[in-house]
Amino acid sequence: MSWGLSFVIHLIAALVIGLAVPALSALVFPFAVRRLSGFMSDRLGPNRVGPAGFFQPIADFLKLLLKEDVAPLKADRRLFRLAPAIAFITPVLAVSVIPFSKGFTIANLNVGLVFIVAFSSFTVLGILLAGWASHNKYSLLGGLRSVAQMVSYEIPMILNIIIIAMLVGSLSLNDVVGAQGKIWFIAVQPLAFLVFIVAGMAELNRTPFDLPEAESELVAGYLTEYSGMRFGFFYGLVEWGNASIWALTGATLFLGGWRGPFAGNPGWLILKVLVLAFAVIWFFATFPRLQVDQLMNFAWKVLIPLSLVNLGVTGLLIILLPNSFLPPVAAFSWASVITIILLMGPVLRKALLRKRLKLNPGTELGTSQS
Amino acid sequence: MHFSTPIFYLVSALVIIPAVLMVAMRNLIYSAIAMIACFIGVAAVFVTLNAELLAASQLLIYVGAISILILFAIMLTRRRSGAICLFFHRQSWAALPAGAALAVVLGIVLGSARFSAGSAPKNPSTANLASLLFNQYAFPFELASLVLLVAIVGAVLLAMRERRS
Repeated sequence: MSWGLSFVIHLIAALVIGLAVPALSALVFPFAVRRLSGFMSDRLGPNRVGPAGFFQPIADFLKLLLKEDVAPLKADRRLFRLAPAIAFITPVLAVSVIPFSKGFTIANLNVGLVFIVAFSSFTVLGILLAGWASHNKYSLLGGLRSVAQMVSYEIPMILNIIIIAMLVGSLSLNDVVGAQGKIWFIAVQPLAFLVFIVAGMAELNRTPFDLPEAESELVAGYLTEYSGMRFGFFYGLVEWGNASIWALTGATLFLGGWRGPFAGNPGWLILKVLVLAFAVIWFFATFPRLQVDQLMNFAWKVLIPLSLVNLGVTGLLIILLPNSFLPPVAAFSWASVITIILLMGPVLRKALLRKRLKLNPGTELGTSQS
Repeated sequence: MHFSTPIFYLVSALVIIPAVLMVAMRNLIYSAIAMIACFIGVAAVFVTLNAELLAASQLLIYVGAISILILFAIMLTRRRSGAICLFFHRQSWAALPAGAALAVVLGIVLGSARFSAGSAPKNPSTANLASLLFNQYAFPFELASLVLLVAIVGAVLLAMRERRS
């Protein structure tokens, strides 16, 4: 096959799958969130349109499409229109490095892991520009908050991706899946998996970390001035598309990717993605929102030190036992997870008592800016 | 991957046009966006050279971190009132000889440089890059991280002093 033909085929595949994944997530996830969190809080959720409410997302989509596209008078219109598109680059591109089954990756790069992390910066950029271009203080504060949060939580995320890369000895996602033939990495590094989940929630701006959209403080954050399909773009395609990318990455790194009983195929990957998405919705329905100072403290004083220790110990074990490092790494990781779970109750209780004695309103970004 | 000429020109345009726009734009935010586009163009240059790791790092560090910080800084400072004339003002007379001198130096450097033409660019493997970085060039690498650490400590110190006063 000639180089040009191969280029065209890959381009079409990247566009089709890169657009299909965010579009499907924008259709499935918001509906699933409303319906499942409804059941979890003993409500029904949307159930009027079609059987069991299945056509609700299509009705919502049509409504958003037909609404007028309004931009504020003083907004920077060009950037206001460009921002959702910039943010949308992330989910479209990141899909292309995920291996869907044996030998089926759109762009089989040997540094796929780094690319997934690198592509996530476009969403950060889009949100920052959306907040600024809206010419609205709530939008700007929401945008800045969102970006500060995403940048902070990207660090533990990357540290834990590095841990998996060290276990595999490669940055290629195909090698990561290949190395999980005998045992999935969730069994080897449960600590890294937990930090990956928590950091992912924060990076996706999901509850309990959905501060950028704290209605009582910031109206709707960077989304405040967006309406119609541009709002749909941000809320549906970008946010839920990124949630899908996160779930795809998590399933590939920790849950064995497309591997499964009978024959490895994309169906297993989709099943694992749905399991992770269910976990996201579960947290959404269960946890209250954090304060902005607690959020930053949690990233810099808990998650990053924890990830660094995990990274250091794992690296040391790999150097000391180059041939059989998986059992000791697993032992260390499981031991730390159990210790953390046992210690969590007493430590949190003490922290809460201290907090009650000395209430010190945070002066972090987003609360003290004028 | 086959390295072809039209793609090279396309990618070069992706670097040069935003670079010019960055200097020419009047709005600082627009300049910053042009600069980001230029960074992405440089990442594309790395891709055409089969240096995928460098391309990803370029996106991660320059687009994901440095540009975001610059945008943060611009958004948190007050917008300057009045028009800012960027291209033609008194300083351009001083800039002319400086620019000419830079052009001469760059011309000499480019003229004396030897480019290995003809052969396809080698694929720098990640493992080779890492072993070079952590063995042969470990000292400069650590030195660079030390410089960055000092810069961070200095920034925090300045911010703390401002808050206290």
